[in-house]
Amino acid sequence: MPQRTAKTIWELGSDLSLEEPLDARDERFVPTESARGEFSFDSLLKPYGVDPKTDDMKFVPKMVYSLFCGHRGCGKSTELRRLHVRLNQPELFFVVFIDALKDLDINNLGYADVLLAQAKTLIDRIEEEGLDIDKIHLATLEKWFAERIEKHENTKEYAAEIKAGMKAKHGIPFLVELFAQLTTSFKMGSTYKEEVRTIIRNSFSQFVQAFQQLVDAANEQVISKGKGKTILFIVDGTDRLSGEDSDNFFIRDAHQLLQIRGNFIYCAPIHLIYENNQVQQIFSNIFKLPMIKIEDKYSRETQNELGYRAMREIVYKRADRSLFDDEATVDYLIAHSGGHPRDLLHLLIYAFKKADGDLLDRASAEAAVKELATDYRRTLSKNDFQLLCEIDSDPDQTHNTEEARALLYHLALLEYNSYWWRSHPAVRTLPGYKECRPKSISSHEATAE
Amino acid sequence: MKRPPSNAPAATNDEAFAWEVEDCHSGALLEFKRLIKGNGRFSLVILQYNDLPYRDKLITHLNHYADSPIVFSVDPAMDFSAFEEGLISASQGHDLVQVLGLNEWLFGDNRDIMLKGFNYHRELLADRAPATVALWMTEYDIRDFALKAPDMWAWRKAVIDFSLQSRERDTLELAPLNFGTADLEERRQRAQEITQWLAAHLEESIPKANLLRELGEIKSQQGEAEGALQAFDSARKIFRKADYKRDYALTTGNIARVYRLQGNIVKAIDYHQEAKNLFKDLGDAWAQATASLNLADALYLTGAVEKALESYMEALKVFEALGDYGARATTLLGIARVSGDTGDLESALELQKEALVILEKLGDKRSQAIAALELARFYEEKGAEEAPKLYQDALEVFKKMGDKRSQAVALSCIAKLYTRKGDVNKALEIHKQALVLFRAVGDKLSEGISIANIAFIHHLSGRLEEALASYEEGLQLLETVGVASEVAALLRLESQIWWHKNELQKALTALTKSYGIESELGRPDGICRVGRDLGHLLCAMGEKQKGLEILKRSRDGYRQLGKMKQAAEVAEIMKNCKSNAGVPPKS
Repeated sequence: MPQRTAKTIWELGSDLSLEEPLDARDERFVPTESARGEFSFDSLLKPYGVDPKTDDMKFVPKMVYSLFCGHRGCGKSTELRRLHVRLNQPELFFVVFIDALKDLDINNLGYADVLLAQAKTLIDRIEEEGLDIDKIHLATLEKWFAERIEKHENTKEYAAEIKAGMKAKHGIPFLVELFAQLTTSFKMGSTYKEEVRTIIRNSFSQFVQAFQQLVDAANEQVISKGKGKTILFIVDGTDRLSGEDSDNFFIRDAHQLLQIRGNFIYCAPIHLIYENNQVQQIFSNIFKLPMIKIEDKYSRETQNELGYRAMREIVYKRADRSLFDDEATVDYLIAHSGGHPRDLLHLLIYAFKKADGDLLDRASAEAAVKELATDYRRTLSKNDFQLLCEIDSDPDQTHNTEEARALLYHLALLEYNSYWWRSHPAVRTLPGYKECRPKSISSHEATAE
Repeated sequence: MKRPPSNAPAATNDEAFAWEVEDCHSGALLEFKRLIKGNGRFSLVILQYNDLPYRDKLITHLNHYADSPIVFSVDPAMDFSAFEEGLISASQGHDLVQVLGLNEWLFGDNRDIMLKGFNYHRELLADRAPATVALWMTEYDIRDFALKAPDMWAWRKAVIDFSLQSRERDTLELAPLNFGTADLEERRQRAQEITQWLAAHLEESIPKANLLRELGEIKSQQGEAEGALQAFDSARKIFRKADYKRDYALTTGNIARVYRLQGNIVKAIDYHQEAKNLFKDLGDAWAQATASLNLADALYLTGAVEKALESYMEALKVFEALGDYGARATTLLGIARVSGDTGDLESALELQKEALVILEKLGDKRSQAIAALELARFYEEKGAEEAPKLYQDALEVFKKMGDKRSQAVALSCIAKLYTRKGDVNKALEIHKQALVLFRAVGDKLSEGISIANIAFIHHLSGRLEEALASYEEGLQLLETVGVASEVAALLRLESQIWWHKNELQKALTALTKSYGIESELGRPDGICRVGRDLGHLLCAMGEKQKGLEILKRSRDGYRQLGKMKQAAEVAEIMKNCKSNAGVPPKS
């Protein structure tokens, strides 16, 4: 994806991409920590012993399991990639980064899949870094494979296929190849996928023991070779899980994940942390990435200048100022994005589409907002509008209902720092919203649209 | 000039196809086109429909915007893996994949699984399907897609609504004026009805825009240019806001015609070009051809004959392919004009007659009358007797319709007839009548030409000072409207008076300027005519070598044009020049 700043409207149309998170060193990245209100990564880093001011490790964490949550499109994956780079230092961590969406088939994703992927990625990193793991620490995993996969009636043929392609490898090279094949099968939805999953479940304690042994041995090597103070696993993509899948992964089967002693960060969908209290009991640290804050909690007219500054930078790193008739047009788009980075990109794409000439002007910006609002209108009912109206009228009140969580999930409702909610500004332009009246008016009533 | 064939090969689908898209979707088409241009990687576009036959027409239209489009029809029995494989396979080597059959595929118990598949395999699809994937979906399915595949939904580049809407048409909209047959009273009545309706309906709406356009056209044809422009402009604003791109373009064309009738040719050309570009973008071949035709008319007025012909031929090809006889006839008239200018009178006459026959059959009285005027001009050139009656009949038609401008044109033609016959007083009287009408309709170009005609009558009658004053007045006007060809013609006539008054330097200045304009315009007839006078004058002023060079060019030019009589006249001047004779040029 080009990292240039588009100088013509056609370059902009070609370059604007919704699809990829920014690479850690992407020039288009804009630091947004201060733009998200009274927010920082401190509460994520400190449990892992990291002093966020200096990036020094004050203590070596032993077993910290965190959930990294936030709205779809708020920048989670981008921030996780930057976190990966930031923390993957000899003085800090040896980071093992798993992108579940790339490495696995997230369809029917289970804990077994993720553990396999963690094992594979760890083994790959061990080989890349030339870490020397004694055979004895690998033997348990090899034994698990031999006893559980090779000898099992349903999977021995599969195991034979795998081994046939390995050309008498041993040790780490053997495990690299083995886990690559296993995870590929999982990703491709092979017929053996369910069989292997079942085997892992049924032999879970053996697998866990084997994997743990590998993790511990790797940890020692990491420390002795000066690659880091300890291993940290970061798993992105698991926030994609929805409904029953996410409940199974993060609640029902979560204790399986926690059986591996180590340090982990898992990406999770935002609605999960409001659904019930269980997830807070399972994971010691829940970290929420809020939306970029562009409005004040009690007054919609009061702009948060830091938020606007960050959002303007997001725009100007992609589109030259000369493409806009006025900075007011840019601010208009920002105001109607709600501080949602991906929705800001949506608005830019829509404005490009609607532009008559070579400039993005107020008319095309208004048309873009109208289109985004129409997108949201498709998913909202009369009751939804009423609920949004109620929530907006009283930001101090807790509205943690199933309906509200659904709105949060579908981005009609956005969460800002200190964790208050407000309806998406594009939704507020819709007649359905404007017609609603809150049942109660709070003393902090915002100005009407 | 070769006569354009009437049985030109039919245009292929790539060149001309009937515009079958609803007006309200024209903007959406352009948006789609913008989105897929130069894409080269995965992008998701959702297309909403509610009518299958209309959707199928749109598929053809949308395919025209892609370099290598393909349609992927989903088998309802496919599971998600099979669908995924099919989509990935379809996208290889194609830039646009239109996916059909999702409504049936999503119907049933596996709906949620299919939608979840989209959500979970978003990255995989993006990685392996490097094309614009356009999913045709119903409103209900789109809603569910947004709710159950929210991550894939988040990657949408656009949701374009191609649903057929049943728009309530106002009763007034339902009975538009027939501009081909309506007389003055009908036009006045219609204008009044529309004005009353507009006063009662202040809100902006598509019916309002349509009625404003109609009112603009009535005013334009009545010669009320300012009123017409106001109405068209208001209509255009509404169309723009509503994203009715095609109607916006059509109204742009209306505005261009008003400017052309006012003689503001430069602006007319700009607007015609804008309209043409928009129609080209939309893929509306017929409208693009109409814009080409209008552009050709405007270019012709500036004297850019070659460019005008190019545009006429471009338009003709499409009209013939689409079977639009009326438009074909109008185009033939344009080509006939160009033929006449380049000396091929026979071809010109043939084309005009053919056009007239078509227009008679279609019953378009106004266009018939315009065609009759053109035909009469050519008869007049040949000295034929049909010309006066044709002019008079056309004048009657224009009077009945209250078309002031066309009346004035007919009057000017009649006046010229009288001039040829030698009845200059009658000619002057009629020219003055025409001038009043041209001023009334604000047609500066025709006003300037009318003043020049009056100047010429004064000139012929020996009233040289009055002639000079009128030429100057006409020149100022024509220079303002920027029609170089008429400026050149007037300068030439003015130079004759200066020469007659023995103010040779002034004559030389005027002729040199005129010659320069004609050369720049590249008009052979004009170059020959002015060159004859300039060469002659230079000889008379003692610059024989220069003079003879220019005369030679004129003589040879006339020969090439087949105008042997004129060529012989120039040869005579050259002979006299060589022998030092100094006769002033003939008018």
